[in-house]
Amino acid sequence: MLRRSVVKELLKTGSGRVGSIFFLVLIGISIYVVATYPLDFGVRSWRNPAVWADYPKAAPPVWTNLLSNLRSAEHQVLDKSQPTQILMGETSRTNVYEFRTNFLSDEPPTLISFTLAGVTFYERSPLLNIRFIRPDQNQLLLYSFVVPGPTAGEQAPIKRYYETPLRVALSNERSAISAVADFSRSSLGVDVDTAQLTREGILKILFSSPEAGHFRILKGVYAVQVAVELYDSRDSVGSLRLVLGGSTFGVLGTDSIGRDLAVGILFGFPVALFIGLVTSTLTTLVGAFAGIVSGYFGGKTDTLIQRVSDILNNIPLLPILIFLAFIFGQNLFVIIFVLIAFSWPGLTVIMRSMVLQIKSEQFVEAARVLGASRMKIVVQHIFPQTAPYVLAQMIFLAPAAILAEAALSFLGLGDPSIPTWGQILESGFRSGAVYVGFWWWIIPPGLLIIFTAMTFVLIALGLEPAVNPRLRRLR
Amino acid sequence: MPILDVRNLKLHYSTERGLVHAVDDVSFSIKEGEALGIVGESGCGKTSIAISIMRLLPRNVAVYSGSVSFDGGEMMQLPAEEFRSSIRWKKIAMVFQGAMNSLNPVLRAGLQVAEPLIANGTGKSEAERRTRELLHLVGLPTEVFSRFPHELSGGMKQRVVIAMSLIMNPKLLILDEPTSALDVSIQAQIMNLLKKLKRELKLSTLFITHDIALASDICDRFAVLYAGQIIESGDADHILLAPEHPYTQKLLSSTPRLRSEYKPDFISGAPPDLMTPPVGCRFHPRCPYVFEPCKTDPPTYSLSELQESRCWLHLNHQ
Amino acid sequence: MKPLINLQNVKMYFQVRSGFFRIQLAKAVDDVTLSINRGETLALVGESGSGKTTLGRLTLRILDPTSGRIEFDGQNITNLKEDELTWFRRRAQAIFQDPYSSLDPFMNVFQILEEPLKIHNAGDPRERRERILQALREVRLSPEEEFASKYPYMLSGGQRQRVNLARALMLKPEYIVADEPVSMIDVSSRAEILELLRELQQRYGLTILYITHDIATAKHFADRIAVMYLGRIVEYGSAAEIVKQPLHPYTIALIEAVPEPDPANRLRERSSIAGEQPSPIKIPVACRFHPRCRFFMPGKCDVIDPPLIEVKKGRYVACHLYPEPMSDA
Repeated sequence: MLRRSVVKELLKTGSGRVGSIFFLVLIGISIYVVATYPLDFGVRSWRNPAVWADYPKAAPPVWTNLLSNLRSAEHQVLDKSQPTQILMGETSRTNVYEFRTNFLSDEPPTLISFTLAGVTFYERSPLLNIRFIRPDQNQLLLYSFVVPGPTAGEQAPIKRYYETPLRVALSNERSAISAVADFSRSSLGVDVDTAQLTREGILKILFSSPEAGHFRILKGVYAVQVAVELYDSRDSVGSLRLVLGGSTFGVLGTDSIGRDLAVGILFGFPVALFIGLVTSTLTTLVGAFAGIVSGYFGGKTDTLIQRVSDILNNIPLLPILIFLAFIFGQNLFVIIFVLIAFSWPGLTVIMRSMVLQIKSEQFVEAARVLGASRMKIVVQHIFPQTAPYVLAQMIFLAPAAILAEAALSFLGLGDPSIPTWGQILESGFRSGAVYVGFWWWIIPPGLLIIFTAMTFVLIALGLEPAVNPRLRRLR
Repeated sequence: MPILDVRNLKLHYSTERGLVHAVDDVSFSIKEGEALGIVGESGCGKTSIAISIMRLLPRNVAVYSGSVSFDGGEMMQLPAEEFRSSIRWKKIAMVFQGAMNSLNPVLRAGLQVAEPLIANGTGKSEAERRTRELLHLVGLPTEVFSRFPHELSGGMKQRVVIAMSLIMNPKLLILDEPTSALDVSIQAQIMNLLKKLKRELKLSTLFITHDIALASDICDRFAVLYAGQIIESGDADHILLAPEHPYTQKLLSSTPRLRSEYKPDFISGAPPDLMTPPVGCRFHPRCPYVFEPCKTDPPTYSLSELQESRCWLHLNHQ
Repeated sequence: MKPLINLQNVKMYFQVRSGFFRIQLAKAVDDVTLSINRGETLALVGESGSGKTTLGRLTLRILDPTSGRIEFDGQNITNLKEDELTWFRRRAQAIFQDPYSSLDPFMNVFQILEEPLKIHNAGDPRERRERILQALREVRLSPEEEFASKYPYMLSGGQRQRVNLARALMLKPEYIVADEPVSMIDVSSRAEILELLRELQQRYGLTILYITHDIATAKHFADRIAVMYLGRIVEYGSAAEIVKQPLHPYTIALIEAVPEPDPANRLRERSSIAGEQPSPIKIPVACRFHPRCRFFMPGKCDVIDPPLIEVKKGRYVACHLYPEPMSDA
């Protein structure tokens, strides 16, 4: 009866309906994340800079292009594992991998990098040539490279770049710089020295053509051809990747070390729900149990519980947390434990006074006269009276826990292995995102914390009529 | 001329479940120096009559109509502000049910009694003098003036509350269950005090209670209320000794008598819900004499100059 | 005939905290000896604070007496622990004053009536259902099926009290404490409930302790009356006799103070007892009624505590006006 009526009451009110819909959204996203993300996402991806090396740093979301006249370069990651073309020579075979992109931005890319993974060879070291072909059909050999040969005692097949892929930041490569300098002189007729190129970067020249003394961005289809010359039929190449660095990225942009904020923020959903629900459920269980014991059984137990809650209520939480973080390291479970340890007394004090009042009701005395045991009286008569209130408290505690965790993370006390919205906020704040104006780094996690808290508050408000027995009796 | 004349008073509340017909077309009057008892069971609209006269209406009032003329003036037309400043408490005062438990615990009793005087510009020492006089009149030692409510017994608190209602010398006093929380021995003391006040101050009184025996202690006339309507009214002799309406008869026979062997009777069935009162005579579902005409609303028959009854049994009376 | 309930020198003192450190004793029940015979209704009459409810709770052993002896059907139950009282719980039941607070608002009538059966593992589900419907029939709540599914807030005060009565009857008890069962319901329904109680008493041979402040209903519905004042029984005897010829000054005053609907009332003073009943923390010495007594005898009433003596057959009074048994004339 209780469960059904509570849900019914909840859906009767506007705030209850909106809150329930929001809650379902939160649950849906969380289920998706839990199903698709690795559990050690924090350690393996989020905290690993190598993963984010090819990402643009502090790039705003792509859709910000819609807001400005100047079209900024979009970050592109192009992958190839099958050659576009295979040229057979007499003693060798050349795998050609061609990356093409229609470049329409009003500014050059921020970087070009090339990654090669998984090369196997038997006789001779394979040779790589990277050619750059522009829309005006001008082209240049940007970079050449020979895969290092066998070391002393190494036996065929020789494997390279399986563990750590070879990553070449072409835009900073010496040989590329001098190749561009030659290209500029011979094909574009513009004299630039290598020192200047090193300073200003080669990309501006690579992606533009001179026009009345200025370089103007050349739009159109660019191609990068990677030719790998192999000397044995058993030789193979794994995968290649070309990154054209852009100044915008993804749905939510990136932070200053290139992390895709959308990925981190999505991961924050289940974590926030976990913190909110686990903390509130356990706090409510402990608080309600202690309150009922304290109120119903009284005596020394009551005194003890009340003193302990007085003490806990009056100890400032923050120093304790800092202290515990120091001892146990920054651990989400320690944080949750401390939040529970310090939140139950509030509920206990209220539960105790409710139980004291219910205990004096005549129906409790009636049950005693009937011979009901104390346990039965608590379970049958006392707890059901408090249940709606306990439920509301539980819902109110959830956003409090989420906010507390966010606040702690913001102070740098968060668990580094589990990214949360609070931590994203904190890293943004620490990197000066607020001062520099990296709003995409600050606003989404902030709004989501508020949204999640609001969801719970709306549900709690929607439950108000079910919880307040006086209101319900009037119906 | 009566001091209070209420005609066709209606007070309905709107609630989530529907309209509550708390007072449904009620008329009565009180002569100067007279005590009228309004007697009825719980939920019949007794208190609603009192708050209609005092104009202390809750927010959910849906219908409030009729005429309340007091001391020759029509109250219903009086602006709320004027009613508050010149009538309420000054001319018509009220002792609420359970008022003794709503005394301010941190104010001395005397100050609470004197408050309306001081608020109306009487000097402090004069107000104190008058309050002490009044405390003496209601049978309290004057040192009660400087006592806090928790230092007083139940009977003393009730006397303080009565003194509060009398401080502005009202002409009409409304008493809503003034002794319901008190033991019978204290109840007797308070009733004796009320009788004395009625006699000495020539106070007109509206006495509201569920206890007809208690009401007989002070009331000269009675109006018996059932489901928001007055079903019988008349002077004490007729109502108490020769009631005509079946409900009044039943109510009286339900009252256990200490000094008679007659076993108390009862009315079977539950009192009606004021949200959906029975059609026709409101008492007919519980009435032992129910017959065909009861399905329509009976008129009020004047049985004598002193007695009126709203029942079809009097059809052939005139 | 052996009494069903027998109280000997029962005392119940409560500790009352007054101020920060001061703990005082409230003597709610102070040395009461009383017995209730099988099949009779004994009315315990007194004003609020007289200790009548506490005494009722003691006979149900919901309270542990400070001292004294409580017997039920010849067995000493004074110091039995809760788990040794199961047999007693089945045989002794209660009806409470407040029809609003005595039924769990979260349970429907069926669940409320099923509870006693569940606690004592009585019957299978079909049998339980039968018994519940029968109990509802007995307290005249019909249609029974419909009432069984209602929640307390859907019932009127009188109907709730009948559910209370039905609950008390579920285990077919021998003894029922009815603590002001009608004081909070309408006058027009009171006699109905009391009649019903009387009828069921006769059908099942119940023994009833009727606790009330209303001596008028006690007169009509009880066989004997015990008048309580400040934790003591000051007078007891047959109901008719006590009302006809009260002996103790307190009983006399109490009876005189009860109003009856009479138009002549308004023309005369109602007799009343001077002063108010003191708190059980400050009980007057010797005879506890002496400060309010109109027959106060200085040097006697304020010095010697009068014992409860049998002044006539079956009639006991504790007052110095009756130092020895009266002659029947």
